[in-house]
Amino acid sequence: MRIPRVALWLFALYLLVYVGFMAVAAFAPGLMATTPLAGLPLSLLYGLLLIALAFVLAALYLRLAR
Amino acid sequence: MVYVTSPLAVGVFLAFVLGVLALSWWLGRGATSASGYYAAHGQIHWFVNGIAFAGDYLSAASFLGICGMIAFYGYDGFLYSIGYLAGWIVALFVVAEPLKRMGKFTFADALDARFQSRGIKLAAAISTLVVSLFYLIPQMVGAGVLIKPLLGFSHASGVLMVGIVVTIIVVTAGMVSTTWVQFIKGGLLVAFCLLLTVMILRRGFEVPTTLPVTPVSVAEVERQGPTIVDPDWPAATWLQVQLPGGAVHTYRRLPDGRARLTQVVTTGPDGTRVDGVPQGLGDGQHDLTPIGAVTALPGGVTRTGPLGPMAFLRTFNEATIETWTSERRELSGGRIATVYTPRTQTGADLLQPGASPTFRGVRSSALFDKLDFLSLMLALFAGTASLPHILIRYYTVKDVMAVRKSTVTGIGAIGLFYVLTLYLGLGAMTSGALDVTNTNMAAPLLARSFSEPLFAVISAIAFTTVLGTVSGLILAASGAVVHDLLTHVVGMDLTDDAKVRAGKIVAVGVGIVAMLLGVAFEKLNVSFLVGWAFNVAASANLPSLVMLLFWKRTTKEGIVAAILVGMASSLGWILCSAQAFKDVYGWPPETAPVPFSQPGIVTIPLGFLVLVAVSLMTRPSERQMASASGS
Repeated sequence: MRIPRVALWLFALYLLVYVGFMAVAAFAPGLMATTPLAGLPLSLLYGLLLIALAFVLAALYLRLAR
Repeated sequence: MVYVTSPLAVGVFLAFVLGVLALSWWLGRGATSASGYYAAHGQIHWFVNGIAFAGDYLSAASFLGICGMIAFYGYDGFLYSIGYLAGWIVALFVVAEPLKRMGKFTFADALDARFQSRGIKLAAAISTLVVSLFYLIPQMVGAGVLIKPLLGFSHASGVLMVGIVVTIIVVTAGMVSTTWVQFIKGGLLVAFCLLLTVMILRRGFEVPTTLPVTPVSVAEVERQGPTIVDPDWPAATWLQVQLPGGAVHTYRRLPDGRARLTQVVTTGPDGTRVDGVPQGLGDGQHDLTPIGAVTALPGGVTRTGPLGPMAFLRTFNEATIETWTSERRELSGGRIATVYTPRTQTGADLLQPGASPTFRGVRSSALFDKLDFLSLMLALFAGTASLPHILIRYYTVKDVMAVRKSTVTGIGAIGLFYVLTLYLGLGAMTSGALDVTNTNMAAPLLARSFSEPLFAVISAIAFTTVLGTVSGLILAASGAVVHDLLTHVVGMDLTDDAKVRAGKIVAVGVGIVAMLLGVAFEKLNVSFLVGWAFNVAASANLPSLVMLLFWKRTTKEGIVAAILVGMASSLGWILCSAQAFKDVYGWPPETAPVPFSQPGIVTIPLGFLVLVAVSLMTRPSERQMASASGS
């Protein structure tokens, strides 16, 4: 049962970003409170990024795996 | 709070239910074969299936639970959103396509495609049933919890109504009607959340003129009436004053000598009382004051006017908000008081993880507390792609390309919904309309703060939400019993017709079990049950799904062992957890034998480990391997 190789790369990329989120939330909570962009805290930005990234990678996959 | 039944809400809800039943009946004329009943003939359009994914997945826990959690604790509800959505990445990139290629009706089909083993079918069917029932309990209890405030019926009648309607939906046309109900519900849910969000942004923030959170001096309290001496309320902490109408205001003393007004609900032999007076809306009765307000806005303004989506979040981050804490106190005469005390919190603090009891561990310095948080986030990530009622939806579309497209559609709809819940939750937190005793009511009450018709529609949608998810769960359970257990494990030789009939009978049975569970667990706090279902699903199903794909030496014994060990260990862990001790059995949580409540971080790897170990022990001989690959 072959899965397109690109699917696994995209999965690995998302997993990395997700694990990064868990790690920052659990072990560097101070970082989550900083406001790096647009006056919004990293906690919100990172969360919204994870939601947007899921859709972007999924849409990208449709284009890449034909 | 006392809720006045809105005839409009009842009307809209009944119209919804009748519409759904009529649709099911109409669709039911076409779905008579087994492939129609269990997989909608594999002919559902990918877009419909994608939105139906949203309708299937976004349960009452997602809609009401997450909104309520954000409305009361801020960011922590959003953590669920993040985890729930991330799980779809596992579904899309790892599980979906092989599942589609290998299976026909159920998740067990796919696991068993290579081995044709009754053991695998049996284990997978059991895990499907356990996970589905686990997931059904919070949905059914949720229906009962909601129906009382929203429509004025009793808990049991809410559970029965949902159970009966859902059973009819499933029995009339199986996957065909279930899909369309989920499609309509998913579409309505996202559309109305979008509408509510636009209304929240247009309203902006406003600081109300009177705030309960503002502390007052003791002298000012004493001017209101005579103070009361009551041994139940020691004067070191509390200050009670008798008001002219008979009510008693309870103030909590602050360290600076001032005092802050609380709301007190007392239950006991003399019924439920609010601030010392029977709860109600009539003369001589008293009800809780709605809560939720901004206490200060950046720049000292009192209202912002319409805000953009980014400006809304930025303004919230710089504002201060009134939030409420609750404290349970045992009084004399067998009475129990719950004291709700307001406090001010900065928006910035509310937008950080760890404010709620569920995620408190993230702010703790103890490693086990942090592991609890990481474990839940892992279970949410790994659980979605292991939920049987989600997996069966992959058999309703025609091919792998449609699987991909519908998953991307689903991710889009669900992701948008989760972004919207952030606005809904924060909007509810500052709406001044919340019920301090009921977090689940945050979204409907937010709608009521705009208009009564909107409240009616949102309430009706909340119910349709339960219908959509429960019908998917019942269908998954009925497929597991008939297709996996009866046909393949017991070896009954069912004709196509008989398979459909058996499926309908089992659906009725599961529907009845679901109703009984919904009534039996009325008192159970259900919000964490969904998280537990994710833990069990991920621990039982994910290791075998993944290893079957990526490790050639996986044996059937390995799969069976991984499913059973994953399921038993995660269930056992949950039943021994501090959360279960406290909320299910009512025992002291410190005596729980496991170090943290969420098992995933231990039991998911354990499933993988067991699979590898058992597979290595039961490795087929070289000769068998050769003949297997040659055949």
